Amino acid sequence: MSGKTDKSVMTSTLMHRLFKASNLNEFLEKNADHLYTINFSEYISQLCNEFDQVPERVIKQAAIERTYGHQLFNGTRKPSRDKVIQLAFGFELDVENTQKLLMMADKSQLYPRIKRDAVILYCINHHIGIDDTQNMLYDLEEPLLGGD
Amino acid sequence: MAQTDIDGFLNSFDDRRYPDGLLQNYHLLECLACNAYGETLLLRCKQTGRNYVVKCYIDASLLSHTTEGELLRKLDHGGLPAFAQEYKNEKMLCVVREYAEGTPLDKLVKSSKLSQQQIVSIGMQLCDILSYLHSQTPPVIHRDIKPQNIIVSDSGAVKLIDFGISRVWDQRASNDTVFFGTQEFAPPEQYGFSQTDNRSDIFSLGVLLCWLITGQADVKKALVDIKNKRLAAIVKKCTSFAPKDRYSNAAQVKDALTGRSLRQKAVAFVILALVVVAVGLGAGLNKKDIVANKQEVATAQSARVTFEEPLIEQAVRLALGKDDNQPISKQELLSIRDLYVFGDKAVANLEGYNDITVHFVANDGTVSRGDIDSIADLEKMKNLQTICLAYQNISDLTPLTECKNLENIELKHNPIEDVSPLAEVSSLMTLVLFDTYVTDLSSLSACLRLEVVDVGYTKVTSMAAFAGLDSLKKIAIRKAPLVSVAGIDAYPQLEEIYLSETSVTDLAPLLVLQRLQLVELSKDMSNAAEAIKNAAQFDIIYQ
Repeated sequence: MSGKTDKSVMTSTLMHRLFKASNLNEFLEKNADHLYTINFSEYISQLCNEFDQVPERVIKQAAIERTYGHQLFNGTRKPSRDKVIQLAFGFELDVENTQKLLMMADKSQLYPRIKRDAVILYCINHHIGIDDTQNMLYDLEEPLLGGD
Repeated sequence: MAQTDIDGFLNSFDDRRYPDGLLQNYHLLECLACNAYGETLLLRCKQTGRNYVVKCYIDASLLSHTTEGELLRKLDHGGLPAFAQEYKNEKMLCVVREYAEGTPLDKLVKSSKLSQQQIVSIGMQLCDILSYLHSQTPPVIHRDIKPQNIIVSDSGAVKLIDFGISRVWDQRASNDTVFFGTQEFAPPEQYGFSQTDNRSDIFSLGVLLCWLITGQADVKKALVDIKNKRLAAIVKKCTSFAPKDRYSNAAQVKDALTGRSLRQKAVAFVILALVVVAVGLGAGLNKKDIVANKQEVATAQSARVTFEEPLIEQAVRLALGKDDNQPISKQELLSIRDLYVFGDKAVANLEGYNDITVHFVANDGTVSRGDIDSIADLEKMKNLQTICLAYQNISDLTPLTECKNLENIELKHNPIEDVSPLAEVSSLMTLVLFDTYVTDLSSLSACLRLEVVDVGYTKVTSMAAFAGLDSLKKIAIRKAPLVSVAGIDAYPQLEEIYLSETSVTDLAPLLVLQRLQLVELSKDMSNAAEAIKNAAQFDIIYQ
């Protein structure tokens, strides 16, 4: 996936600088212009391009209220953790990309030792849609997604 | 979805590692952090729907070490998360606490650059929280002050979280045997050089301030990037390698952040100047007129802490912003730094105190003598730094031996004779005893920081009254029965001396004082001034 990077510095050069650096913060500061500086709304917009989807459909599949969903895509609203997970269902992401999506939103990753997260992980891994996931959470008396 | 799928999943999932009570009362929502020692989880109470945070300790070696629940249970401060519950089974100890709404400082800084004003505000709030923790008996040392453990609400209020490695300071221990903390923010002694005490938290606070200002936690490198010299000096002092070179308590850091420590020196000078006027206009006041005209001041009977003296209670309520009927707790008393009462009026701050002084000096009849006989109430306010209790009936200073942080004491117009109890207040810097019965201050030789003394209109007759007070920089002895300044060479740090309306005729002893800059005399002493004028390196001013 392409981000806002300075193409004049090759990735291998950046890697060399990273390994040579004695201080990570110093490296990050000096090379800030060459690093991805993509925010969450840009990231999900790029996901749409990558998966050849439109935000409208993703929002619908994520069972997110329409206006709210578009605010997430245009960056005027920051999502809660549950909304990010719902978006993962909207994009039909696998577990790895769901965790990455949570990371991009600066939210805690799904944690398999917690029952609710384990249910969500199980459903994502089995390509189960959001409605069935909500049913499963309901049956197990766990808080439903989006209730935060 | 097939029921068999759900059943299969449930069979493979086992969360019995968590204590039963925890699972019965809370939904586990997400993992906020986890490491080899345990997990920090976000919870939702099944009954109330409110969010909480639980710290689950799984490391066997830590189960016996951690005192987080025990600590939180005892603490009650708006800047600390309230304890909720504790659950335990054979393998896990879970401490549930209030969820602090807001953004961790590390994330807040990522999303927006903080202004200097915001940084100072965060620093000051942390100082208040640390003052509270360190004032516990025994003191509580947090030991892990870092951006991730500081939550800032939308309104800018700060909460300090994570008491996982806090410890109660043990006087007997020589060093900490378990190494914790976050490397960049931890003080040297946390690596075993010596035992951590409250100054360890002050070190971390200094690193935090540096990080907030410059974005770097390496203080040595970052110090040059702090453009504000005052803030740079604060960071430097907080992060001194040796604990003895740091601020001795968080209240001092707060004063430095607010600029108050600088203002205090100026205030002492203003007080001295006001006294000059008071002597001129208020000399008609007769100490023998001290009449205990007690007024019944309405006080709240429901307060958890009760007071002996209504005027002191009034001043405390003003300091805490409490109405007459609101209860006051012992812990709230620990947050009080200043108290101001002049005559029959308690006021909230120095400005109000100075206003009354003006009325008193004008002798306009608006100020009557106050009715404070005892200052025993002050024993409960162990973090007091400044007390101004003028024009009362105070004679016994013994209760002040409990106030180990007192820096400024103003007790003018009181029938005080014995100041020896103040010898235990080693933090003392300014002492105003104008219009008292004091004859001698030599018992205060242990107060090594004492720099400013006003014993005007007292019974001091010679410089021997200050024997041993080697740090004195300013002395006011106006209107005292002083006849000679012989022996003044024993105070080489002296910068200013106020001698108006004394009977001193020979000022030659002053000539040996290298640092002396200012001598104040009254007009009738001009002959004595003329005699040394040519040799004097200091300014002579007249009242």
